[in-house]
Amino acid sequence: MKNLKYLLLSLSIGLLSCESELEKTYDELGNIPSPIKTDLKYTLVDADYAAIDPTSKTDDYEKYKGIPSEEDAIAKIPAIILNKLVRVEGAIAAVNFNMYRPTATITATTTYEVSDDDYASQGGNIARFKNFSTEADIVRFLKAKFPAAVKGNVIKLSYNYNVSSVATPMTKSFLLNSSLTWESTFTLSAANYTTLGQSFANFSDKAVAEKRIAIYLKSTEKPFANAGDIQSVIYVYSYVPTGGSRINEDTLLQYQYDGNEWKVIPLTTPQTLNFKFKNGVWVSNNIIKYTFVAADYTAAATGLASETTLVNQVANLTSFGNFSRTSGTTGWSDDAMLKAFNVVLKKNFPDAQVDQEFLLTVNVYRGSSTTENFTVVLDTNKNYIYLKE
Amino acid sequence: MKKIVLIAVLSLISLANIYSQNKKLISGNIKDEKQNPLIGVSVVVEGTNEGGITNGEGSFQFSTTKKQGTLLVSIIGYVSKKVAFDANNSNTIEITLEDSSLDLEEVQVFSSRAVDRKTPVAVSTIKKQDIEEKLGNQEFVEILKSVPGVYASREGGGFGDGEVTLRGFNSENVAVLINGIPVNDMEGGRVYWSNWTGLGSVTSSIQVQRGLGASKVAVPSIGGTINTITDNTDTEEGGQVSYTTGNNNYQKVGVKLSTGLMNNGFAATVYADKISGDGFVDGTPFEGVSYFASISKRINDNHKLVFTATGATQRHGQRFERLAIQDYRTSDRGVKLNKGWGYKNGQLFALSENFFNKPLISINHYWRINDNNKISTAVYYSSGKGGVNFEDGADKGKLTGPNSYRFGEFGPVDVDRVVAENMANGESTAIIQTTANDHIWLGAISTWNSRINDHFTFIGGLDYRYYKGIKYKKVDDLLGGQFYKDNSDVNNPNNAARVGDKIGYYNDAFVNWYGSFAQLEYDKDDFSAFVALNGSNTTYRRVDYFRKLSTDPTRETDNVNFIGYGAKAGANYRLNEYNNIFANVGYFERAPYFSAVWANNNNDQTNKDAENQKITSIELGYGLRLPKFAANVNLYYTQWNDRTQTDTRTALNVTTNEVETVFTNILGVDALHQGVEVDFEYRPLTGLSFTGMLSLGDWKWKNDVTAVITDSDQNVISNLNLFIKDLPVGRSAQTTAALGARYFVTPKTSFSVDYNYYDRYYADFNPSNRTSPGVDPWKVPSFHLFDASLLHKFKILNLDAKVIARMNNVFNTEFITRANDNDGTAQGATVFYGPGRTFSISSIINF
Repeated sequence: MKNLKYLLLSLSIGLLSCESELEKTYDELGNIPSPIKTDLKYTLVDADYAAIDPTSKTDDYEKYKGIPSEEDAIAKIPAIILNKLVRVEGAIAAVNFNMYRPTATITATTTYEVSDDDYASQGGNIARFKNFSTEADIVRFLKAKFPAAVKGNVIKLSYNYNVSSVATPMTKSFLLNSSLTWESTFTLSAANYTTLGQSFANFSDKAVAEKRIAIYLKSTEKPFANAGDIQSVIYVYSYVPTGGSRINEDTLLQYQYDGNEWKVIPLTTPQTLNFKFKNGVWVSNNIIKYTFVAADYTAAATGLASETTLVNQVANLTSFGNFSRTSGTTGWSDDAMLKAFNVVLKKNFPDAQVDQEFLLTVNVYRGSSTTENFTVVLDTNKNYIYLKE
Repeated sequence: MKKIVLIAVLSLISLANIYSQNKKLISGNIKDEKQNPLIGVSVVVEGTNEGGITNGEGSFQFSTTKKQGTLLVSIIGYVSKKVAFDANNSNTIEITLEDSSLDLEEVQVFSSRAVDRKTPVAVSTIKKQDIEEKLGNQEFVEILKSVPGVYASREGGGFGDGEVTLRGFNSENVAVLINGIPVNDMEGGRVYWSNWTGLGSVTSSIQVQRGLGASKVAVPSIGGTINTITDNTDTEEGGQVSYTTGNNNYQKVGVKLSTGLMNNGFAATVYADKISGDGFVDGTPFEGVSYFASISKRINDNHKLVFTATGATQRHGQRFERLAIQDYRTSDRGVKLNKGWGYKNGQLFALSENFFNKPLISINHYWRINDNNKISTAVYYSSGKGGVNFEDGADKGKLTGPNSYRFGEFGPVDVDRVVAENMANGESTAIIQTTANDHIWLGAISTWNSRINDHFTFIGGLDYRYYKGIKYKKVDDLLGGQFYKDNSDVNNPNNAARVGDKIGYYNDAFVNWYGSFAQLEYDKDDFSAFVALNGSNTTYRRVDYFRKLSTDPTRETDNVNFIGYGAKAGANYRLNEYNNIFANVGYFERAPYFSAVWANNNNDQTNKDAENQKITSIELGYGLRLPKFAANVNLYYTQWNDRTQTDTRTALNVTTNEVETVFTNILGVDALHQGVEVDFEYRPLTGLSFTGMLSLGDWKWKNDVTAVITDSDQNVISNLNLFIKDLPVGRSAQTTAALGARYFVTPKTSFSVDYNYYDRYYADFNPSNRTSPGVDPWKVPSFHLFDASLLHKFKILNLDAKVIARMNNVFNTEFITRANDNDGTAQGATVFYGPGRTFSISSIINF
């Protein structure tokens, strides 16, 4: 009896100790899908900006609580979020951060002298007296004269200005700002540089320039400013790039008076970038997630109506509004699905750029109704192909 | 002092002697009809408390004060006996007990019950004791899992959702008889086991006859016949109360009462039980009442009437949708995962539900004309009412499918949200409908059994069945809205349907069946043989209430007839008292099912020329019967030809330039099921027995099929190709093995262990869908399962009582019990997992 018990026990242990066939199937199927179904979200906080580049001389990140460019963001954000977000292969994170332009960019500089005809074109007193009386006059004139100007254009205008009924010649720079309005800009003259302690008519240190110009604005140029007033300033930034020759660059600064002093306004815009966790690090991911809607299935059927090899599939798609993935005559192969994707994506996203990735979710039928995901990318021939990881 | 003690002791001894001389020793042996000792039989002197129980060798011994009297001998499963004794007679008393299920021999004969070593058919028998001990809270079909060739599964896992296949043939190819009455559905041949959930408590024995079987009535026994005999009317007054509790709130309370044979010749037994539980799988609560009544009247020596009624009314939540393996692994619910339920008003709401009540009532008349002639007639009636609930409506995607309103990816459905949306909308666009399958069937079978002489017996008979199926969908729950828009009835377009109104479709199916059979049996010395013929005429008719106007005469189709017939023969040769061999062979043609005639449910498309299926079967068997060891070996070869493959389409006839309906009945979808089955029983010691079986099947689809679809002028419309050559048959495990052991720790306590192994199990697929070359269906991983049970008998206040504990899937093994193939891979397959560890404990008191 005891022997029998041992026999049965060892038989059962023996049968159970080796891997069951079900376990082997699980090994083949691989890991279960990630539990993350939606994008992770994160917004950079002050401490994050401060931690970006602690050795920076200008301290831009911490000072402006922002990142200067998209490329810089793509480079710097992965390190920040590595310690803030869960690490799951394939997870996608939408990271909000501030992008700032510490200095607005000058896109073009033109010099122009207002002619008699120009005055005449403005009519009224301007035509009569051949001078502008208010800054608004000049703005109106610039709008009419340079309708094709783009943001960042600077026009160094020479014109006559009414000062106590005397037409006084003046030269002033006007900037088409980001609100697309002409704004008068204070351009430093050679005398200004001297006043500000410079040996040459330029600054070689941006921080020094910002500080001194701020003081100058308060003391000399705009002593009666009110809190909230904005003033654009153009100065020459002089530097020597490595291995090159000296560059003198017109640099734009925008200041705002806070009631006490003039401060440079960085233009910050909230931005979002997507990152994907791949092989242990976060990398930039600009994939667009798109789920097919009812109209897309109809569009695919219509678009592939003339495909002779897909007659049964298209009929099935029209009847049921989903892609059959069974092994019968109505089943869509991966290649057939790709044809359908090309039809729908080209219709819905005609402006997509080469290398744009799409993560598509479509309704399929494989014995029961479910969904299936496909990743495609727009290749150089402007056709969508499957993305190979 | 010493002397006083001596006298005291001596007188004590003599007193004891005198006293003991007043008690006599009674001893004896009790055996069954096969000469096996019976353990645990109760022997009591009538009118006293004195008695004993037989031990592991079937022997009893006790002392009694009575000098003469009657011994009351009883044990469940056998006819109780009264045996006179005389205490002065020092011989041991030899008693043989009869199986109580043999009591009604007429039922046995009527039901074509196979006789050991005589009927040339592969047979396995499951006795009442085994059912009582091992069934527990499993599905009724699971009691058959250790029979060679059987694959029993719980499908989705809901209460009553069991299915059994035999030798790889699905349930429409396995005949199920209850007391000799065929209970396969008359339209499609399936057996809905949820109708018979109470059967386990009232079954006297189940005999599984594999292959063509011994049944004379024409039944679809391609895989085999499952022949269930219910309890007869007990000849003794008494009853039984039982209570069972088990996993997931399983509760069953049952009461059985018998009047015993009364002086007026009547005897009645009634049984009822109430069962309820939450179900092992999430979202599958169930409750039901099953009932049984048997009343018999012995009119005189030549006439006996038996009335039997049995059935079960039940409602249970189902797991209807098969899911991918990765889904079960990802979800925290694991193998219990069910996507077909939700919450409504804070209560569990099963989105997929099945409810049915199908009483089967029969009156049997047994007429003994003379010593050589008997006529047995059964008239029976069964009506079924009920259906299956599930989601419907244009927005059913809110309740089921990838975009359903769920709490979490695999969580329950938020039905309240759907209700709110329906309420805001006014019109319900997502509802629960009932797909009803109400039906009535009436039948009569009459068998004339004539003993021509000592060696020849002739059996002939007639068999008539009438069936009316009422099929429709109806609104069960509007889920908050005021009405449901249905445009399926041409007589009532755009109907604003309310709860109970019919929607979708509504039609009647009529089946009339006339059958006759004749069998000649020969039995001489060591040789028995039989030859049997049967023939049948099946008539189908259909009435469509929705698709046809009430004024349209084509609302009702004409009758469509099909003839079926068969012949079988077998012989059994008893080599000696230990060995016998047998062989049987048969051929039969089965009339096509209802769905082959109206494949598109359209009265205008009646496929009058649907083809019969043709079955050829050959079987060889060998039996060994030694005192301690019995074994059987069976080899079978069953060819199933012309599985129904119909193409129905409307096409333009290029010759006449008219659109016509084209039916093509494609022949050649053939399968071959062959294999070997071995089973044994071994009793090395008293109180210890082993059983085992091994079944190796080779079940394949035979050939690729090519058919050309033409119109009535022979213009080719299209080609149909099926690529199924050598594909393995799916849905059942082709290799199964079992081992069982039972040990009587004491005569009152026994412990059993059962082991089952399943392998070479291919996922289910429909050969009709294999229209392009593909890969083999996915092979489901093999698995091993263990069950154990413990039985203990004792007495409570002089009443016989039992407590039985059972545990199934002792090691909580994860296994896939059903799978649908999609692309031959594990990723593509959609499956149901079988249950984990389950248990039940029953207490039974007999009085």
